[in-house]
Amino acid sequence: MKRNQTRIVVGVAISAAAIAAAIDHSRQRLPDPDEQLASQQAVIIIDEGEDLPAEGNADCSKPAALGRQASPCSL
Amino acid sequence: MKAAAKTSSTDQSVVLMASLAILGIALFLQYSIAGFQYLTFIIGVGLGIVLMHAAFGFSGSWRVFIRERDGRGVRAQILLLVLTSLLFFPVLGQVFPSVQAGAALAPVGVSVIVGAFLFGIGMQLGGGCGSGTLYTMGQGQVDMLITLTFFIVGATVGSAHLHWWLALPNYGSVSVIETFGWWQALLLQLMFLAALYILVRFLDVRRNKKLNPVEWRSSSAEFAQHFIHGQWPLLWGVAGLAVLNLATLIIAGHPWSVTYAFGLWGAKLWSAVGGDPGSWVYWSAGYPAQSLASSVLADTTSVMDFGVILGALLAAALAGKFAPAMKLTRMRVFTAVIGGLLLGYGARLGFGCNIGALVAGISSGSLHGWLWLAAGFSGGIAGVYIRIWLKLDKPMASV
Repeated sequence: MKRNQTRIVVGVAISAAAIAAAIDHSRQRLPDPDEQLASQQAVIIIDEGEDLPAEGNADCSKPAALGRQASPCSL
Repeated sequence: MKAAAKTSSTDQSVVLMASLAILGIALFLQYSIAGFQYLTFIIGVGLGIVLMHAAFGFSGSWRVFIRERDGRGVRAQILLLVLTSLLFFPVLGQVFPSVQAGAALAPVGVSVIVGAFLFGIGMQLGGGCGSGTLYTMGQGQVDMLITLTFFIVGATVGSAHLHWWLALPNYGSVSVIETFGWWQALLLQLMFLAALYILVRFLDVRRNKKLNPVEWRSSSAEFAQHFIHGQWPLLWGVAGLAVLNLATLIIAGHPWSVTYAFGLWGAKLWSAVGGDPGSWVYWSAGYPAQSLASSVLADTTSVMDFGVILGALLAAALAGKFAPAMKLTRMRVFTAVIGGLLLGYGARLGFGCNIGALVAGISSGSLHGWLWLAAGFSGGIAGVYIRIWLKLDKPMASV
């Protein structure tokens, strides 16, 4: 393949992936920070008196990233 | 004159587009997803740049060592494990109580042995490992796009079968940090890594007489050019990967992983065309179920993978290496398909790839990481012989 052809193929692939991610983001339910805690499988070591991570998160208006402290490949 | 020639080969339009894409996505994540997801994306971009500029790969290094006993790349990987162990063990041993992070633990058993062995073969046929597939795809290598596609397919199929493999004998997760204490385990691990380094060095010198050094130096006159446009000495890559791995551990709360996202993407695509992966054992509960039901941008591994691809794309454009012309033969397509399937299926069974199982596992003090290394390297040896059988490489010279 010539260089221009390669650039077109890669450009189309990356664009398609971006569109797929955007569609998925717009369609899927965004995770509730409280549900995130319930599904975590790794041990969380908390010092006495400290809040759990989500409880200490001041910004609860946005959905939280998933999987904190759970190494995904270990699942 | 040399510096000017290098700059003019930079793919400026691609650099601009990649930079804008990275900025846009980071801003979108900052405003759309709570927590530090935008930071994990930026870390992913950094990893992509480091991988591309240092050409830090596992597959090619293993093949060169197996065929010619040139151990430069393998020694660099061992040095990476030393650095990440030194950085991870105190954190995972709760030396810093305010830092909450989980280890990459997985069961020690048949699933890891079979998965890693298949992955090792897949590395040699597919043309890359987990991180290698991402960064070469980001560089614009079309054959690696095929590998990645079937990597996703293999990982998805693997997730459907994983519960069957886990029913086979396994000893459960074994953490040397929990068993021995963090600094005792660290000493033990460093001893093993030192022994491995000496063995690799010995085999190299015995075959090649003269040892090729793991380079760390760039002449000061060329430093800026090398830093921005690549090619980095290998040890710069080791340092960059170690630091960014630590950043991932602290910010994401778990070690860097790559291939979980591939199974997730495949499951989401299968769901989009009418399939029901939610009914599979793997995707029916816990974090997998939650991530399947949620936005892909809420999954840290996915976001980091996107970052790696874009970071590698940016680095390749800076180096003038984006989207190289290539001859895509039928044999290359065949090996990319088979290799990708083996990589994906193997990664799911093996609880990760060279990054998620090997680097993250060993750096976390998980015994499954060492088992993965042994089985994966054995698979790599098998893969080298398969390449010779397929006439992709010449037979090895007899010693």
